Amino acid sequence: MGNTSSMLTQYDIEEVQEHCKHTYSQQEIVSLYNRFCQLDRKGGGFISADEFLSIPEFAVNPLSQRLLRIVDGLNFKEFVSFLSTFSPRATLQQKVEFIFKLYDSDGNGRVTFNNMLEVLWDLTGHYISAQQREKVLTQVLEEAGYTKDSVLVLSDFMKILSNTGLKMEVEVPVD
Amino acid sequence: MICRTLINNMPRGLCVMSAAFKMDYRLQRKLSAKTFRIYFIRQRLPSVMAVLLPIPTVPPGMFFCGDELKGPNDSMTSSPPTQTHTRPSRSLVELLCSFFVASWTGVVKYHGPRPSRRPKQVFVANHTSIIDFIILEQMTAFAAIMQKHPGWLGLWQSTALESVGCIWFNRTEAADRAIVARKLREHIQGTDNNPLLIFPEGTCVNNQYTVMFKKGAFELGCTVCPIAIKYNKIFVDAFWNSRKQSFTMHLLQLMTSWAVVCDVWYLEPQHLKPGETAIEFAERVRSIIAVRAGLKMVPWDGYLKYSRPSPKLKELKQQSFAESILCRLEEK
Repeated sequence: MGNTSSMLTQYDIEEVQEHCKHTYSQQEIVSLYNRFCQLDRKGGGFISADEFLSIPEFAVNPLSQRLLRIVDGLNFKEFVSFLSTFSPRATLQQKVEFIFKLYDSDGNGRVTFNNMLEVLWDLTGHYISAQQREKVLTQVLEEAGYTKDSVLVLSDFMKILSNTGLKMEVEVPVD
Repeated sequence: MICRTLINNMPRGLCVMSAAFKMDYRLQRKLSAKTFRIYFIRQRLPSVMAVLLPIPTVPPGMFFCGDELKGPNDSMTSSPPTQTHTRPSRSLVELLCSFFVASWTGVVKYHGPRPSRRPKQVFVANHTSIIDFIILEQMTAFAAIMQKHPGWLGLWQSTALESVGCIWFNRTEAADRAIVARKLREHIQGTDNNPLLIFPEGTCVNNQYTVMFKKGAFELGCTVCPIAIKYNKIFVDAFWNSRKQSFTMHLLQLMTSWAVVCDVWYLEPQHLKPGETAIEFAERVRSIIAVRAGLKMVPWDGYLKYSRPSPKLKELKQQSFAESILCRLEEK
């Protein structure tokens, strides 16, 4: 204890707040910093995939490998901006963008039928067969007004998810 | 480092010392029929002497206890060492532990009826550090089940603790569980053995939460007597993070802080209710201990400190999601 170089200054907190577009208050950023320091065991200033997997809830999440692609090697500013999606002050646009990024594993801005099949496979494992998966997905797309061959972009995702009452919020404990 | 800790702790330390001096002598040995409270008072033992006292006493005490064994003891072989469970040897162990507690200025307040030696009973407690065992040991000579540690701590375990009949286990060995379960059962059946103390959390926890209890202690078919231990964080944080700190550093931290203040509650013995599974019994006892000591209950497994969660948990989530999707599909 007493290592003063690991304390955040007011300038640091304001810079991080700017970066995450004011989705977190200053006390919340301090709490997030404490958590970041706890997770960053090696003290390198960034959290590696291994350190993320040490969080039990993260390790048992079926989408953990997809999330790791986004969060591997984050420094504190990027960590807060990643978590800003889950803040109650974040806009629906930010949340849908995050979900789109998860689905769009090759990063080309388009989500095809195969991309969605892969996500469904991650979520259900070997508990449903490949045919059932295809059947489910075709039905889902039909309900939304798309066909099996359509390629979805971000605006399509926004349209589909805007009426669902998507919450995806996390409360940051402030001592 | 030590000077800085002493200077930082000085105001708190002065409060403790003055509180200890004001304590009433009449309360020192008050034994009522059902409950007792024993205050360990540091008036006669200034802190300096308390540190020096165990040095000449502990080694001969350790060797005396060790001599009661006949030859080296291998934990895996089935023949138990011949242990003398007589009153003098138990009192000696209790005395040894009380010196050890004095060396780090332990101010322990015991509440509740003193544990009695009866067959078919087992004691469970929440776990913060290996000193929990010593604090409980200075009141009653328990036999405990614990992990062998490396270094001089392991040496102390193999000499002084063998004489009270401790059982050893190894967290990392998977086949160890069946052997340990058998040894536990044998220990309880034996009439001559010291009462068994088990820490069902399986690992040290930070004294603000209780993690899930392992059900091994609750499947033995005997009375379970819960013990709750709560340390006062103002004086020192007694949590031993064995992966970050060796026991020597932890002990040094305890000794250089002004006091280790804790409360120990001996709670009402519990039996397995008809129709209750061992896991439900463990949860019930955990809630009794958590409520008494003011700890929060969390549904985590203590062994997550050492290993990643098993992939079966991920598969459970996948299975439940798959089932809900298939339900919707069939509805159409």
